Amino acid sequence: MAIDTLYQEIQTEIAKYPDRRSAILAALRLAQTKYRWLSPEAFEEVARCIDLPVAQCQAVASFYDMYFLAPVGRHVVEVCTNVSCCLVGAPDVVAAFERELGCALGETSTDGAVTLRAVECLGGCGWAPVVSVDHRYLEHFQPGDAAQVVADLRAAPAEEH
Amino acid sequence: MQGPTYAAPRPDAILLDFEGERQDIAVYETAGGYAMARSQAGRPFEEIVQELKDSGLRGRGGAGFPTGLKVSFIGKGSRYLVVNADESEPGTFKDRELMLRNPHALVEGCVILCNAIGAGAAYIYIRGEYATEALVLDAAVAQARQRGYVGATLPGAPGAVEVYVHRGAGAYICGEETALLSSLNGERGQPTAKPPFPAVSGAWASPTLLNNVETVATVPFILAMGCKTYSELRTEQTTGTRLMSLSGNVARPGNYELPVTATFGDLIDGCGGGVPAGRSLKCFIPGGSSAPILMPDQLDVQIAVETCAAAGTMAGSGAVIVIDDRTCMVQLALRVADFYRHESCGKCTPCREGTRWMVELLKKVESGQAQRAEIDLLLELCDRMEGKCLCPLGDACAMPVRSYLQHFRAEFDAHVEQGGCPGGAASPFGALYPELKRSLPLVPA
Amino acid sequence: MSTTATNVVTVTFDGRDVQVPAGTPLVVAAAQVGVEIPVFCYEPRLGPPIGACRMCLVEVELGGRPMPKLQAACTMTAADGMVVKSAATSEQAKEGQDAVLEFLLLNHPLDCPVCDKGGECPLQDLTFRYGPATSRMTLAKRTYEKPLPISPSIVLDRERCILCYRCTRFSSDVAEDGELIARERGAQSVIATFEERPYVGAFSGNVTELCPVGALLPTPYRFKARPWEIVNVPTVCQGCPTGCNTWATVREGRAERILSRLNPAVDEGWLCDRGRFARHEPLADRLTRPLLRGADGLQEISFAAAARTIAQRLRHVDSLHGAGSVAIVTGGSLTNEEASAWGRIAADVHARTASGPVAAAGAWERLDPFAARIDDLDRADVVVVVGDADVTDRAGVLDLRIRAARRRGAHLMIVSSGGTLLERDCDTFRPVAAGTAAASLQALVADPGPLVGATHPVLIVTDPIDLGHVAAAAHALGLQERGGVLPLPTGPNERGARQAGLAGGGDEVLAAIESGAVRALVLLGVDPTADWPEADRWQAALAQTEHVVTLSPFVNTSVSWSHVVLPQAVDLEREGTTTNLEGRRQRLRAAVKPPSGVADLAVATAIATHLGIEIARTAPQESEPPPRAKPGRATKAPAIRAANVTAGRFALVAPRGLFTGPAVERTAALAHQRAPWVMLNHGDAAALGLSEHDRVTVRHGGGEHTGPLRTSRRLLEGTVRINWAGSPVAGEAEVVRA
Ligand SMILES: Cc1cc2nc3c(=O)[nH]c(=O)nc-3n(C[C@H](O)[C@H](O)[C@H](O)COP(=O)(O)O)c2cc1C
Ligand code: SF4
Ligand code: FES
Repeated sequence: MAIDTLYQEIQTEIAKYPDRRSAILAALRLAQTKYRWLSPEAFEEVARCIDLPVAQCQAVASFYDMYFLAPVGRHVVEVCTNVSCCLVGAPDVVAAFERELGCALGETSTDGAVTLRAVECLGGCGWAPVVSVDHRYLEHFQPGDAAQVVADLRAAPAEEH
Repeated sequence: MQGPTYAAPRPDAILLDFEGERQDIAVYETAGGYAMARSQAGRPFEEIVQELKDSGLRGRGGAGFPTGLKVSFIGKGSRYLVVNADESEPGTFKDRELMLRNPHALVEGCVILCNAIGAGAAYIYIRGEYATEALVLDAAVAQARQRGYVGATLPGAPGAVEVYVHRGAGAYICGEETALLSSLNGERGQPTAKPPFPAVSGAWASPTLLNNVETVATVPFILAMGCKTYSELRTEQTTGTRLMSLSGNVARPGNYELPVTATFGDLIDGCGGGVPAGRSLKCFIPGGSSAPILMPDQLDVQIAVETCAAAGTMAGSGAVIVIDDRTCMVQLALRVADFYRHESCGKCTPCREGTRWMVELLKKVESGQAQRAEIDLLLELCDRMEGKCLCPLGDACAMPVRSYLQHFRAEFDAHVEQGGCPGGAASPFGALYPELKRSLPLVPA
Repeated sequence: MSTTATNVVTVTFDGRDVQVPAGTPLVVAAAQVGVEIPVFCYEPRLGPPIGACRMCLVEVELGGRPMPKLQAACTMTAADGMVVKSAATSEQAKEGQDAVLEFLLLNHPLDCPVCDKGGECPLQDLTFRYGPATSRMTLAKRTYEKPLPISPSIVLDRERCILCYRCTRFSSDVAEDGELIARERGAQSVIATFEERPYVGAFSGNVTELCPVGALLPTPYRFKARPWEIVNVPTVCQGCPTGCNTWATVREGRAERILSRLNPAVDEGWLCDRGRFARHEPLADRLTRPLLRGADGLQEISFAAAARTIAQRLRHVDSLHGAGSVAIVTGGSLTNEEASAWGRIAADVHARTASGPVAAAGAWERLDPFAARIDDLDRADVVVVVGDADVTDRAGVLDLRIRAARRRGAHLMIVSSGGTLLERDCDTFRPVAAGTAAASLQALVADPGPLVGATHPVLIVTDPIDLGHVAAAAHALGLQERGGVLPLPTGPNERGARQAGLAGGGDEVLAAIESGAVRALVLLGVDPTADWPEADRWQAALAQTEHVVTLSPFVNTSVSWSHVVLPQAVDLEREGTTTNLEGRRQRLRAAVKPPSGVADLAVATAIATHLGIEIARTAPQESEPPPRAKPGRATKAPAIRAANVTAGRFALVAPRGLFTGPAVERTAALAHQRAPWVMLNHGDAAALGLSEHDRVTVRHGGGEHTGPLRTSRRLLEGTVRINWAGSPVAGEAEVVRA
């Protein structure tokens, strides 16, 4: 029988807590790393691994912003549009990405390479504007930087988020 | 400039005033790190509580609650330490830099506090977006484990201490302590009614000490320099230094560690170099986006808890956002309110419905379609939300909007009179609309 | 902990003093002095208050100092010297109340005239009483697709929902099925199920009673009645031996709805979906007239003729063939009064009797020294559940009481082959081979685990095993001195029937029929070819019996083998008493008339009269469970037969579930609850190359069962579990991909 790595990884997380339920965020994250988004099947797998009702996994996942409940591109570009970033030009960064990707916020480029999202404060306000690419921060981001980032992402294989 | 050594720390610069980073435990130990973890491991609970009380340390998470008092409240039974590393209040980024550059200060603080309260484990709840920081902390914990600070019993300590890094998944409300605990328990991150307070029933229904990253990381330094030295640097009710996150329309944004006696002017003009040339200061947010704004004539307000309160605002998370004259306050209000609407957990009625209504009203005002009476309605809505919600998030939405209305009512009226934004394209948020309107308003039309 | 005088505190509400135990929620304390504080989310049966709706905001002064903010009177508890002002006397509280009501109505569709909740709706009442809550919202209300069936029995209207979280708390904190959830966050939050799949949970219907608005409604009751046209009749559910108290909502002679009727000792105000939704319908299917087999098959006759015929035949057989030539058998669907009439008849015609499939599993008297009551679970520190059947399979709401005990801190131990609903969150799970409940009890005596040192342990046995095993274990575990046992009968009033003189088991009667000793068989509301094990043998037995008399609401296999048939009344048509699993006698009231127009008791009395027995009419009496008997000598446990499973086959676990039987099969609203499934151990499934949801067929002694696969890491390897609705089967089975 093939080793069920997701199951094993989730058990490692469960071991950190007095109650297995606490591992739910980690379990969902690990499943998302494996499948890129949380499909109904992914939820069911998580539910079996952590032995909780599948609806509970979805109830939890849908509360948080970082779980994808619909398919996403191979990469995810998130632009902070909160106050500090906007004050120093985040709207122009958004516009630059929309141009480069040919898609609007909340959408995925037609080649499936990149999903573009606007997000709330990422905690990088001192180095604004901040863009997070597959959960790595790019700071002092200028609209002119978008082209290179998009080109790199189009060329790069899928990242584990 | 070489940072202070721990043997003789300066009370005015302890957390970040060194070059580079101290992710490597050897570097941290060379600087005197973990000495307190070792020497304080066997110290009785009461002594440490007294030391913290005498230091005057107040929580750095936002509420400014006296830390020693909080530690003294901890209930009996198996206990936990939970560190609030959710840092999500817009404008705040101090805990992040602290964890990146000085992670062992936090780990050492955890070990000390766990041993003091007899907790077997500390859980650092770090916001999900801080993926890099979580890895840095994981590595720091692993190093501390190798050196026997974590996972082993230090001489004199009541037991071994485990430190776990628990990653969140994107929800501002999880910074609120009871919501954080719900989330840690694997639930939707919704706040719960207090009492019971975490000190009595927190993580896994056990007595739990919950503190902010900066608060915990400060503990080793206080013990090293002694509460007396630490508390010498003080205003009437606040002591020590604070990490201030400076951002917005300012020449040199970043984190600055300032004594609590410093003024916002010291920070914005002194450290930050003031607003960029050619512009002028319109107002500033003193303690995260939920804090009521202060006006240019209030630059001499000290950054301490009680001085901010006296000025009608709050020290909050120490996040100062500088706003220059181009900014449309209606757009700012909409942007801020929409953040809180997006982050409202949906549990209690006034916050869930009030934030949504507030955003809808502000959209109407911003686009010039509102009646004048609806601006008054905005103020009434603030009344109807403030003080009625389960947790302070509803207040956090109402307070800033109310302060914008108080100071800049004319701008709101102008939108109604001119049928749109008078500042228009010049405002930094201008370009966000209509984009933001298209993508962010998740409220069905 | 006892409430001593020092724990009593004085609180003042709108100028009125009240003394309550410290820690009493303010809403409760206020009600004691007639101060009404409106609530939506507060419902103490759902666990600690959550303070979500904020409807109950009040002004509070403590120690002479006003608290800075309004406080939620549901989460704030009484402390000495507290002065509380409700909206009646406080401007500030009134402002809070108005604000919350306005917020709640912002998105509410205000479609009361077409809402089934209208007239019974707390939101409507509060708006009416505390208005004017004029809305100043000039913007579009939230709209959703509606109504959304969240199962065949429940519809959800998200526009009406006020997000009080009562329903989701019930699902996660009371039923613990976790199926009904809040999805999304903030103003976008909605009540939902996973992927909008049906809410499958034995207790789902309770959410329709908990919902304080018309957001969750029982589908069968939609647009059926308005509150002023209905009468609510108090009665007792006959779906299982728990005996939950109910209200039957009657309109124009039809029972349109069943509601819970709180009895803290029994049901804590909950019902299971069988009790709530199962109906013996359609009426057209019901037997309404007695039938007599003649040359042309079964022909209608009068009740009088039927009674006379039955009496004559029983008397005839008894006098011709002697004692034991008549057998009178029931399954627990009689009232105590009916059972007692039949018990008298049985004695008169020297009949063999049975009230359940297994004689020894009904020998309750052996357990008298150890008998526990349902509310012993409230005091239990350890609860041990032994048996492959899930508690819900046999006694719906008892499952909720066990869960409540665990939440209160009792240690829950499950001894079974696994895959039951209860073991997911238990404290100790002891996996044992399928069908070994009796042996497991012996093993429990040898290794009592958490029972060591327990002061009030309750032992529950779900499988219908020889109660001699239970008695022996109870004795050895010392349960005569602490806690007690609660075995689960197979029929709703099996205990009452046995006490009324119809003791014995189907196993003994079957053997007697096969031996030729029985010439006349009376089946009272039981179809042994469907309800009891050995269906084939029963069918042959019926075929060989000279006289078969059957009492049944519907045509079934036994009816087709009968010579005389009597129509039986069902739950809501019966008057009398019933005895639940703990021995409590409760009153049944006829909410509607039986379609035959004649009460079953009248027919039994008529038969008795023909036999010369006088059945006195007595008013039905309710009573508490009887007190415990004095402990006797230790009972010796009967011998245990070990079963072996052939290599390559699976041990079969097929307990007859809650959602089986004629009424359930006829209820469309329960279709989703009885959808077949197959459960295998995770590893076994992988070894067979099967994955979750694959369609799998299980072939066993009773036939074939096909359904989607569920895998479990707790179900014992080598075991297959199915929700088989046919006659009870055990033994081994073959598992193949369908
Ligand atoms: C809506 C809301 C968000 C909060 N977010 C944070 C946060 O991100 N980080 C933090 O440390 N405290 C946050 N707090 C404050 C915490 O509830 C809590 O007071 C603090 O973590 C306690 O630690 P301290 O005593 O060390 O300050 C927040 C509070 C509220 C009401
Ligand atoms: S559906 Fe009813 S019970 Fe559930 S949250 Fe909405 S209003 Fe409350
Ligand atoms: S009843 Fe108190 S908040 Fe809902």
